[in-house]
Amino acid sequence: MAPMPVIGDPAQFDRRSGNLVERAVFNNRALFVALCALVTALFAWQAYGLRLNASYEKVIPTAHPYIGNYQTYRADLPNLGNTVRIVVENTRGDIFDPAYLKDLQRINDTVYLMPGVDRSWMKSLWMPIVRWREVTETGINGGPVMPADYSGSPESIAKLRQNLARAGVMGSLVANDLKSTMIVVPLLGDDPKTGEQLDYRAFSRALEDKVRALQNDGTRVHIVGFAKLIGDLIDGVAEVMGYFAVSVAIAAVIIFLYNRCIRSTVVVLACSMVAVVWQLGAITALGYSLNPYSVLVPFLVFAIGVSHGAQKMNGIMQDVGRGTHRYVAARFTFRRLFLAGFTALLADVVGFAVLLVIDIPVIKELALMASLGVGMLIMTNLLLLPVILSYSGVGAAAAQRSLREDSKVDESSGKGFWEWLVRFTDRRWAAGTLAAALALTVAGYAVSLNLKIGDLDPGAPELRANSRYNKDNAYITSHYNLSSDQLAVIVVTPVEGCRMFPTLVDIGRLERKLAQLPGVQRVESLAGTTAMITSALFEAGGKWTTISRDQTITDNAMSAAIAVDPSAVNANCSVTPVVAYLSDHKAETLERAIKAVEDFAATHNRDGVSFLPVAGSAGIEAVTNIVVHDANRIMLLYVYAAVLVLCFVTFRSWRAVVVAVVPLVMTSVLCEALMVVLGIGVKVATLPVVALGVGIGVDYALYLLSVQIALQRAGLPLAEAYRRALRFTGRVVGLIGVTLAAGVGVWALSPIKFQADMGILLTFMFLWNMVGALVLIPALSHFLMRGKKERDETARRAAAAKTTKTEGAAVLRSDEASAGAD
Amino acid sequence: MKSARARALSWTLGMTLAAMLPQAAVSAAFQDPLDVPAAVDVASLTSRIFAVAGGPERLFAVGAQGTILASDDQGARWEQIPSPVSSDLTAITFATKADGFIVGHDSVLMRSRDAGRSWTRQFDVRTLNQAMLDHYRKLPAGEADGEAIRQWIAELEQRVASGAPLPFFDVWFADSRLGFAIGAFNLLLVTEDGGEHWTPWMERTENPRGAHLYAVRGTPGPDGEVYIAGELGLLMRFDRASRRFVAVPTPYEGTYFSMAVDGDTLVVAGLRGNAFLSRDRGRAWTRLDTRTTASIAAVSRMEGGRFALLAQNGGVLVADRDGRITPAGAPLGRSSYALAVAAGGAVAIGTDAGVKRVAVAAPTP
Repeated sequence: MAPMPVIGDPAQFDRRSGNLVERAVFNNRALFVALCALVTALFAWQAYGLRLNASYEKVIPTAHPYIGNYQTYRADLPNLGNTVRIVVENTRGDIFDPAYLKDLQRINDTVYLMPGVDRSWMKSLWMPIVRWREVTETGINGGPVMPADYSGSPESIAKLRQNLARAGVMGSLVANDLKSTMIVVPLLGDDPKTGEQLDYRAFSRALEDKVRALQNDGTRVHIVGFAKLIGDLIDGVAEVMGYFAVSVAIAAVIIFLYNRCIRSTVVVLACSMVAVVWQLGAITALGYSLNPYSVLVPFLVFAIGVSHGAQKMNGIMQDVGRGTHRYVAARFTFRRLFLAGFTALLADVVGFAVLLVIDIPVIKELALMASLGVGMLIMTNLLLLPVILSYSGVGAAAAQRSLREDSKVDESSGKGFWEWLVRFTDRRWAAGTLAAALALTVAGYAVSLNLKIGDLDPGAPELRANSRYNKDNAYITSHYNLSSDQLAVIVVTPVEGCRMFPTLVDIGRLERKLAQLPGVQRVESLAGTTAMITSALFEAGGKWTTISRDQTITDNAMSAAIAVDPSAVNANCSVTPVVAYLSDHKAETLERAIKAVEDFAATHNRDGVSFLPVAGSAGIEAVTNIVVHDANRIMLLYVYAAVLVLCFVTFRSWRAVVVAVVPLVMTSVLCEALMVVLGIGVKVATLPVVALGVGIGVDYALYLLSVQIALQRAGLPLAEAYRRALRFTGRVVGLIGVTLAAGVGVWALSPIKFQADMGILLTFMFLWNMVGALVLIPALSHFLMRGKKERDETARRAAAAKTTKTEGAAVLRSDEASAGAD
Repeated sequence: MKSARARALSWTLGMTLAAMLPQAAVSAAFQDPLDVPAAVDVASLTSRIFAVAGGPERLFAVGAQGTILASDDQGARWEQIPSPVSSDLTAITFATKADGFIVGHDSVLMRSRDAGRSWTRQFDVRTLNQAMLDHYRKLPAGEADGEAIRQWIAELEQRVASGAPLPFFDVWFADSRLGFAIGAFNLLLVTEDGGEHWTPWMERTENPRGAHLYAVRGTPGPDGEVYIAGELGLLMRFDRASRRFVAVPTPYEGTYFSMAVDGDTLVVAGLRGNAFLSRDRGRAWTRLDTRTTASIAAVSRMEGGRFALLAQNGGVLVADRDGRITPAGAPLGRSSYALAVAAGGAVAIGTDAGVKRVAVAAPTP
């Protein structure tokens, strides 16, 4: 780490010096800049076509066999999930109010005309398919719930009231408190002609602009459903993209405060932006779109880019401050820092790449995009940035200032923040620190044992509890007998097999098994419907509520059941769902249900008839929990294995590896404890956090320790080596921690709950890893990293103290103290 | 007193049976409900309950998927009793303190000889159709009922071939020996030896349209009356002399689902809130003003000459001596099928989610 010579005139500089990369880039820097400009233009053009997406498919662990079942039979289970429910509430009284009914009709008609709506099965008070039925002596009487001659008169409202009582729609179409009614809007799936998918975002927008816009003083509209949720998520992604500007502004302020140089601040930000443009252009070119997870990658790339760029800038400033020409300073800085920067970025790439082992498409995409983005940074911030600085130079005043700031670390020996950090190499401080760290880790571990798997909040866990969607959801679940958490078992039989007595008996058995589980509110299946309809065939005689072994009776009942609800079975009666409505989606509830289904399938699957997990929102979540639980361990294992290898390659010392990794382990444990405290469960969104936290967190150790070890190998005692390592990289470590934290901290504002969770946890990991590195590395080094010579020296002094026993205890104590201070 | 032990015993037995199931089930064949004992689990307590009846000392309830429940405290708490079948069970009665009978779908008839603590199957669809066919084939031809018998032979031949059962809907014993089990399509079995042997009597009913039979009740004793009520306004009285059921005219053409008898007084009730009372063994009838359009699923005799009627929506109506109706509180709002009068001014109601105890006001003096 000998300082480079000061060369004020570039003509005196040997342009053939430096490695191949340096010569290739810096000797053709105009060409290099032009190439980069061209690439940037190309990628920017590509990135213009970037799409936003919140595909449900990508969040589910597609490789799991249960999800395979779902995907195989999804087309046969059309009615599971893809329905929007619009509740129109009368804020002035009950629903038997002509003004309310008029508003409801207007909303109903608006929804009816929206593209994407499956009009034939839309249900509401104003839809003629919603009928009342009544058994009479001569047969079954019935008619539409809304009287054909409805006029708003008290008589026609009385008639409506009577029809509703006979229709059995309380709790499903009419709220239990009679203050609202529901419009059930099934959506058409893919367009059968064009195969085009419904544009959820456009549909969700239309619901806001056309439907919710119709609410007035007397009516309030609540909307839930998969399409609305996806629309809200995509809007959330768009909003979060807006935060990028905030993130850039914060980074600009931090860097400017650090170097007080507008010119170099602009260069650092611009180069990092170039990396983001390249990354966005590249993913668009590769056919990806931004989803609620991958939208965070540009933030990370930018933050990492800024922290690395700041180091380059710092090096060049110092050289320029000493009088070296900006071109030479750029090349010297490149020489000094390229390898360290390259290793650190490589560690980041490895951290991200580990995420590829997780079989959840969004995570794989995130891993790929992040790896790509960080790879781009090697070009933009390790190469392009010094080249641009070699043209632009830095502000002269700022360059001088940077030298002064740096020498402060030297001059302030014995006091000040940096010297205070050096004390952690002292035996007593080291021992105390380690004891405290151990205590904190043990306590954190104890808390982290309560870590839950899955989402813990009610409603749509993707969104915040106080989001409009979740408020609407809470209103609807509290006023209707309707749970938004459905777990469905897919019953597969031979063609026309679902109507057979044995199939229906087994479905009834499964229904009974599920219904008695804690957390299951209600189970709906073909068996229940068939039994009810069999009874209806016999004048609603109660004791006929059965699945008749007489196949003629059961066939009649099934035909009637399918006429009432064609979505109950697929077209050739070979697939039908058993749907459990759950009271929540806590991991235990889901686990119990899945276990019950597995047990049942193990004893009841037979030739041609199988009971397959799983479909429905809660079913998918249950499988996701299983995969996430396994993936969490595997990923920790892999990321630490990767970091251990990387550290060993860099340091070539197992002791150094321990020093570098122990702070990371502590942070990981505390992060889990923090999740418990904040009520965040292990879920898809938290998986990348640990990988990113550890992969990026090891950067600090890489910078600090590599310098410290080099100095120790050069013969310096630990305290001095650490002091100088801090001088070289300490401020930069601080800068990295703060810029990274600022980059991800803004996510905490996201309307999407899991993004906020990720932001909070990553901010914690980045900051705590920084503290851990600055405090624990010296403390651990004291016990593990003092060279043989240094330990011999301590031993020699101790021996000397023993031979001079006559000189008394006071000398002994002072001697020991000085030995400890080494 | 015995309850704790008995309960523990019945649960243990049930769980042993349940534990045996998975092993039996590894075969890739459908497990017929007639071969599978009822699952012993908490779900039985919230099963659909089709019948509630007072037994010796205890209340019993039977229902969907082989559910048999017993209560020692007049319907407040229930425990499950193991059943050898998991078919839907529709009625339960006791001929003596020890001898109980349960009938149900799949032509199941079970009996208990230990006051309802354990139950064994006497027959089901797989034996009954053939047994009835054999019985009718052996009857001497050319008797008065020849035509009816020939029709039943043809019908039963088809049913033996298809395996289609005739479901039972009610069972009742006039004394310790004479008992009746009735069901769909004029199904009628009679025992005269306390349930050891059952004989089909389908040819001995004045039911030309083959209407479903829903309720059998009467006055106990060797000289008591026996009535059967059913579909399409059908009411029949047992004529001991001719050993036949003869039609009794009623003022209604619709279906009767339920009936109760108290001496000479008779209540029949059914579709759309229709209920009728006769004080003279079915000669003169008075319409009861039930003020509901819900069908009446069950009627039961109460003390003081009153009757409790259960509407399908869970509403309980009390008819006093004069036939005046007083609703006992608001309807439960859930599908209800059965009612039994419990001690302590209450009724136990069989619903689609177990048995509910509902208080009923004491008789007005």
